[in-house]
Amino acid sequence: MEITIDGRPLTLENPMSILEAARLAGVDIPTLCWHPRVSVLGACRLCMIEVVGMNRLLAACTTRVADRMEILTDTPALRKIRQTMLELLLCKHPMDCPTCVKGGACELQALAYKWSAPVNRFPENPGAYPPVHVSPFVERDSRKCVLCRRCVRVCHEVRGVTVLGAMHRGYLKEIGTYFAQPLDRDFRDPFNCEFCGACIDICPVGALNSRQHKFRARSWEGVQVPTVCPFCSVGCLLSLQVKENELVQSRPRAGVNNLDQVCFRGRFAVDYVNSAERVTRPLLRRDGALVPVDQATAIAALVEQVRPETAVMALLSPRLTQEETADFVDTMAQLFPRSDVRAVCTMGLNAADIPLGIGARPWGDLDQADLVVSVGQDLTLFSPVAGVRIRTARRASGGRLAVLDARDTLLGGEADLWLRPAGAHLPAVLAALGALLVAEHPERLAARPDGALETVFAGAAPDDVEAAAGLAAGSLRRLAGEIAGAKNPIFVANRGWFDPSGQVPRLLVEIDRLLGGSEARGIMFLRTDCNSRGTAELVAAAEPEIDGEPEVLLVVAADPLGTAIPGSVFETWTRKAKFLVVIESTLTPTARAAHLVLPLRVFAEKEGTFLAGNGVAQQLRAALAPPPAVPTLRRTLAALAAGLERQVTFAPPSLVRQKRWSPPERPAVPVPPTPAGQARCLQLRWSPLSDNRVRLVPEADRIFLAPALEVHPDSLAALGLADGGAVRLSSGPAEVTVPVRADWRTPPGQLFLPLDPGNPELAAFVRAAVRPEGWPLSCVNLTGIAPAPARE
Amino acid sequence: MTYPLAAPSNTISPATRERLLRLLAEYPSKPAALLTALYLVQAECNHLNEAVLTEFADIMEMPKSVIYEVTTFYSLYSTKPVGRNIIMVCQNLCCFLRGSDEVVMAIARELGIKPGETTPDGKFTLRPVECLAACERAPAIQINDKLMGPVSPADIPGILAEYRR
Amino acid sequence: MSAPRYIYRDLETPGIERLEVYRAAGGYQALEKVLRTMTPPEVVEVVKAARLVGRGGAGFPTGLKWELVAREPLTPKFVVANAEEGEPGTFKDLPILTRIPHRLIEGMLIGAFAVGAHEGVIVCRGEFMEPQRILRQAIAEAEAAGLLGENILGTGFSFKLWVYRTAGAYICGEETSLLEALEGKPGMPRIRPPFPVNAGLWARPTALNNVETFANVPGIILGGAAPYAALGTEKNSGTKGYCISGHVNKPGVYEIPFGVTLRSLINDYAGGILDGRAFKAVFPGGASSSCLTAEHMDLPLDFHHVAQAGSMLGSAAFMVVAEGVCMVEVALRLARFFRHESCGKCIPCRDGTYQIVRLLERMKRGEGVACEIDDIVDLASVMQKAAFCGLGQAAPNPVLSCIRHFRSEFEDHCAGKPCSMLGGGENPYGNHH
Ligand SMILES: Cc1cc2nc3c(=O)[nH]c(=O)nc-3n(C[C@H](O)[C@H](O)[C@H](O)COP(=O)(O)O)c2cc1C
Ligand code: SF4
Ligand code: FES
Repeated sequence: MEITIDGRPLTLENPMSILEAARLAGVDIPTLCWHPRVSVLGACRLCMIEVVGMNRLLAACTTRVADRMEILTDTPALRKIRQTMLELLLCKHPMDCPTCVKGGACELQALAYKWSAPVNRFPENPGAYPPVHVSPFVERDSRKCVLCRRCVRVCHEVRGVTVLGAMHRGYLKEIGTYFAQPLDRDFRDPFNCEFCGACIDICPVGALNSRQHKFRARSWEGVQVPTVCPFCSVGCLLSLQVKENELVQSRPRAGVNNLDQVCFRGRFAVDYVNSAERVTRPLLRRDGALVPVDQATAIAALVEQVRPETAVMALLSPRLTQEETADFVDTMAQLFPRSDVRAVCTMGLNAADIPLGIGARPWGDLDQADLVVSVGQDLTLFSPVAGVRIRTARRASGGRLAVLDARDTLLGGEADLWLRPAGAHLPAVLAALGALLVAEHPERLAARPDGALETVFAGAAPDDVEAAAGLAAGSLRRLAGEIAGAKNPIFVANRGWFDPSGQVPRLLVEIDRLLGGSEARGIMFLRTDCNSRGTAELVAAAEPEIDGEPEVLLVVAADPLGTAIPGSVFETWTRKAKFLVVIESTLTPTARAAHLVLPLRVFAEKEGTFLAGNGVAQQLRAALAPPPAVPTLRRTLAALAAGLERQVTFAPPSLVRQKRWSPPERPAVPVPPTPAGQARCLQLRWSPLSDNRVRLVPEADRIFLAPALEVHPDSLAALGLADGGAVRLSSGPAEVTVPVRADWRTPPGQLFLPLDPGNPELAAFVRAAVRPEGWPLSCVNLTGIAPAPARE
Repeated sequence: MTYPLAAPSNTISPATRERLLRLLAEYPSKPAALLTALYLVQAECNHLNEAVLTEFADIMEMPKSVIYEVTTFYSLYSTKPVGRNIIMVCQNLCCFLRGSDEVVMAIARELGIKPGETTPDGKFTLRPVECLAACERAPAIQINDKLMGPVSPADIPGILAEYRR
Repeated sequence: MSAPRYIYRDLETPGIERLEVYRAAGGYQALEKVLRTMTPPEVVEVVKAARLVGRGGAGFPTGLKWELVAREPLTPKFVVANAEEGEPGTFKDLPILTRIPHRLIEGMLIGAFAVGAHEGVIVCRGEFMEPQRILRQAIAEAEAAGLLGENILGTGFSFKLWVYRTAGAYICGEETSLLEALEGKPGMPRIRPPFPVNAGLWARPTALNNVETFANVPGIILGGAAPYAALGTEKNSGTKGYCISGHVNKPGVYEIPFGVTLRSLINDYAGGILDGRAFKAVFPGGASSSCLTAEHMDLPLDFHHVAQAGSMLGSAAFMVVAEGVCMVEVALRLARFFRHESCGKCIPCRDGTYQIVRLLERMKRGEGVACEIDDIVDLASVMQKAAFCGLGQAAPNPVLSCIRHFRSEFEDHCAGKPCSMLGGGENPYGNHH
């Protein structure tokens, strides 16, 4: 196509809108309602253009280019329209730009500066409404709203949450929520705010603002530091605004993995770095209490406990950078040849036992998939931006979606096929799926299962598994049919709290291999933490064998005592350690139990690399200067070596990614157990509050759930329970009383319990609960469930 | 929809739920049935308040914000209590030319309320509206489903008497 | 008044809403003819040859529309009747819906056959309760008689028809908003293209026509294209239901061949201006049109000539204003209508209609300044060019034309002069939306 824009010739290959063509040609057509991430609306009319020979003016955003179009983008008639549109918006707009949060970063300001005429023929007092708190984290000033509906579209189309809407009609139209309700948690509603803040970013004016950020700094103050989110393994890129060495705002920036989206944790929970509970100096236990000491004293206290031949044990967290992890692993090997290093994830599970090859593919591949099978629980809660990627890819590709997720989450509701097996049954379900593919779709298979795998499949009779997992008869067969019928299916799996032994990814590797994928081509995998994948390259995966008590245990950035699922080997190990050293940035439950605490920098204070779940290496940049007595981990390790009168060699950057350890690519798959009836299986559930960093953020507890037994409303009566009542749970000798919550998202017949590590009674119960051989860590086999007697 | 409307209610009765489910089965999808379903619920509950629409959203399995968008977009749904008989008086040009202002005033006087209000006994709501497509009968009014016109202020007491019973 | 009638034929026949009476009067013969002796392209050809154009307001050639839908490979296809009748001053579809529903059904059946659709919807405005009852009754009768449903008249053609009720929004008369409403959403106009003929209801090809357009079709099929095309003017053939109301002695809808003059419409059909008063102005196409004045009395009324006179025929909704009415109030009434009915999507329409009402209300209160008349004119011209859909583009027409023809009345109000004309004072019961 040959066109001209303002006289400039342009040759185009692909069909596109006039607006896109103009941007290609570097011509500035003003827009307000248009945004690349959401559908086209055509409401603001700022982008009107003229086409020579046409008597109507056209909106550039909604009109496609046609061959030989001669487009004019700046004529007196168009200027007039733009001036009038801006005048209509500005005539009743509060002119509090000097104190407006968006001042300086406001699209309306910029448009007015460039295009508007200095007249106001329709002046109107905007009134003085107090801003409305849409949620604990977002506030709205509807007087400033220009009704571009970008927030509504991002909420519906990208986040799938659909809590914002354009209410009323005509001149009364207003962006808002259902009956103007605040978006505090409403657990009955499957469409519930996720507090992602996408509406804040996309708002062109100061109508939607972050309450956390408000009045901390003007948009242009301080510096913007590009870095990476320190939470899950999607690896969203962030831009941290820092003023006077304070983090004032975190916002997403465009990245290959996150597009330009982020979730609650990346935007609001990173504020934990401002928490007062910061470890700024070494702490040493004296007479039962932790007291501040200087670094020399601290190192001396540690040196006293160790000799080169000591079997020092270490637990490190996949929250450390790749460089820190390499330094630590190498130092341990050099100082203590008998040392043993393991990685423990946020959920308290082994962080390094997932095959490395799995999931090393770009999220963009989802755009080509004709079927996405999402396996794992609460993907949209655990890694919300992964949910965004699946949703937006589907909008582009029109592909189908199957979801295996017990709980009612957004993706489940959007899926073409949604199976809700109890979490403990997921490995058995996948084995049965494999068996069905082999038995009923041999033509689709590229390879036959080998003997060991056949045994696994044989142990999972589809009908029995469906019955045990509470699935409708025939539903697994339908899923197998969907998979067999797809040319390019992609599995998206995450390691939930339900899969401690990593059976789900192992089974998926095998299924993918049968379908013809080599090297786990058909799988995207979400690991637990920001650097889980990097950690898996450096740290051995085998679970440690504990003989007696570890003499000295070093825990780095991990929190085995405060993680979601109590009772893991790592927790036991930590409890039994004779001398516990914790290198940490905040006072976690584990740090509080330590003999010695050494300070550590938070993610915003360090340089380094995180390997996202799909292998993309992304750079962390130091945005904040650390407190003076907080050295890098390398300095701490060097000080330890010096204290031992030894020298350590740290790996140069080129060797940081050299694997120290490789988990097997095809680990053996054990035969999945089939736990007893679901009603007696209590599924422990991860919640964002299970992360100690999230708990440090003010008001986080207002939007996430406190522990309660979650039962579908229709299942309450059968158990003799009432919403808001209390229930006595017993498992063998262990007992606990928790509140009951009627919960829509729990499937009928299943029982869930979100974990809050801050609740010691609950943790003690879970720890003591009897688990038969092979049961997942996250399932408690209940022997008793009864309404608790009312308290006096 | 049957008239007079029901008195205000905060729940969807089992019978209405039944009818709603039957209605939904006739449509290609639940969202497609939204306008029709809202009418059905409004007839039973008088108006569409938060309690009712929350229950309704559960049945429809739709985002509440979307339901609220639709409810507030259209003039014939109300989120606030209305009288059991709705008097719509056209105030567009043709009816104005033929004296609709006097008709509105006459009705307001007769009911003792202002235009837009509902009588304290909950029997009537007086709603000035845009064109009723009855300009040849101007000034036209519609009470519930019944279109009348031309009406004069003198007719009003007689017309209302029928609905007072 | 002896010209043949197409739309309202048999309107006065008692019981014509019943199937047996309609059939006795020759009803459904056109359908029989179509199903038994014609191919879909032949039907399209006849409608094209008759030069039938849409009666919803835009005057788009119906034959061409049907041809475009017929050509689309995508199925299923739909036929939709627009029974919104929302334009103020329009009441021409109502007699068809309540008195001769079977003519609409027959017209839709023929349209469905021509485009290859097997499902149709009549979309009624929410206030039309009685008409919907009658339509449902008529559909049930037709189904029982094998005229709707499977294998119609034993020809193998099938067509399912149902009635849908929207919920009170003028914008739902606009075709893409109507489709949005039919899909259960707020009636906000869609971006075009794609046009409904290519991707309408559920993104399927859709033949969407006004009720009166469909009602013309049976007569054209039976009588042939030529006699129909011979009626009317060179530009527009056939007859039109002209609505006339306001200050005339016999308001009503009259089926007349295109080209009747304004004078004849008012005097010969509508019985002259009410009570022998003098004529002041007329809005020929409802609230969306510019007013015409006495100089246009001999204008032949078809789409072409009314447009040439600077207005539009639209749905032929003549609202007549006699001497002695305040034109500022007239403009304000119509401006309020558009403010109330703007969907709220685009800035020019949503905020433009709001500001026009504000300024006119100021003038009515005597607080206006003369230069604000020009502000309105200026704003209005931008709205006409920039609004997203026909509503916002047409909304300023009545106000602009009132100012054009009766500027001194606006100036007098701005100057605070008392106005003793009808509506010249304060609105007796305030602003009620
Ligand atoms: C704001 C607006 C309101 C409209 N209202 C109606 C209406 O009430 N009835 C109608 O038939 N067409 C109405 N139309 C025209 C329709 O968009 C459409 O052109 C028509 O229904 C097509 O049918 P036709 O080709 O048979 O005229 C309206 C258009 C606009 C822009
Ligand atoms: S409506 Fe238009 S403007 Fe708004 S962005 Fe568009 S193009 Fe634009
Ligand atoms: S209502 Fe159509 S453009 Fe505003």
